[in-house]
Amino acid sequence: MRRLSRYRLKERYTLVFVFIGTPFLALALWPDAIGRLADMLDIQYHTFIILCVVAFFLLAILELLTIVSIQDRKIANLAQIVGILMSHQNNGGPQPPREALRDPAHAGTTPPLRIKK
Amino acid sequence: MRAADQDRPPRCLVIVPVYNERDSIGRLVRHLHRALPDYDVVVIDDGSTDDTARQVPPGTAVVRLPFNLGIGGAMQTGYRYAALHGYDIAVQCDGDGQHRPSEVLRLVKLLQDGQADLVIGSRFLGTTTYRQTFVRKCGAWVLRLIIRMLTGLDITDCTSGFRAGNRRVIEAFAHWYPEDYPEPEIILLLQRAGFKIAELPVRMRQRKAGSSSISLLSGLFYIIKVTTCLLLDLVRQPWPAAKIEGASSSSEGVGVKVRDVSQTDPADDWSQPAAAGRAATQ
Repeated sequence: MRRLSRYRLKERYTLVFVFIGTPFLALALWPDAIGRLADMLDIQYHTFIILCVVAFFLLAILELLTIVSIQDRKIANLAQIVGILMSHQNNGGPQPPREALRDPAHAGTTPPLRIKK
Repeated sequence: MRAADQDRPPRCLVIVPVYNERDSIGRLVRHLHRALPDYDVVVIDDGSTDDTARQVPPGTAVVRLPFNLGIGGAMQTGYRYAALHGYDIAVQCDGDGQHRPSEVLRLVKLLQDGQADLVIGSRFLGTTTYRQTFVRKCGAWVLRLIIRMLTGLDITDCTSGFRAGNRRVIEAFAHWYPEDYPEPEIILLLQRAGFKIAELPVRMRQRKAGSSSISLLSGLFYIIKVTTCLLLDLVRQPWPAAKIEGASSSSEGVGVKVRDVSQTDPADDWSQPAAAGRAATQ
């Protein structure tokens, strides 16, 4: 909550955290839920349910790493453009066309970015 | 290359990525201008924390990145610069003074003869006096073995940063460039995309100043990480979502053609080299 109130965490990622954290909170408050859930699903070994929870957790981490990778790529692209533009400004060169400064790796050649707004 | 471009001599750019190389960059750039008067030079200052950029002689184009992107990000900046200005040949040359400007012409000659798309200057091909530590020797041997297993190419110096590429390579690198361990990864990715890669023996100096980007102590860990990255690259498309013009059938159908940025509106003169780059060669 403190991170959210101080604008360190964006709403969309707060939602991701809430959706991931809620099942764990429920399990912490009601530990027998694992057994009940396993019985409902006819799962003989209750530990298998824990494995499913861990798999869900790993998928969430994978999604977050994907977001980080895309943002990392965007930041690097921005830094490269800033460097090239500043170089031309310092040298008195002409300004490049906007088309030329699009990130070539994302210039309509790759699928749309998967970050939801 | 367009028909009108066939008659003119190729425009060549030397890309020098630097990070805290204040003691060697000035001398290297002066040597480059002296040895290669017809070549343009661009120094990519990869967020140096010292006054490296100020040591570059006046009249040389300098691209100062706002923060450190690593060797991959810095090199891609150079190739994007080359693609934006329509250079025909780009040569990588480390800023630490290891690479001899006099060897650049030999690399470029091989490209001009059409024998390769990318030429790698090798420290270990033929007779060499280049000294290496035991850990680095072992690392180079293991990398050579892995690259041979994955590509069938026998590249003796997979980590050499002394390379020259033609227009197709420039466009491909401007489009995508590996960030983590670019030198060996590029060999694998280019070979899979159908590019021709050649190696040429070159003489290199021992490092004189600055610090190497690869620590000796982390050599073994480096090999493990590089090997993992190379194996992951096998899963990737040869070049991300791009069909490189003229590439072999291995890259057919991968995606769309890489945009030729040099064919933008000629009125804006953006395809011409930077003023500083031109001045340096006059």
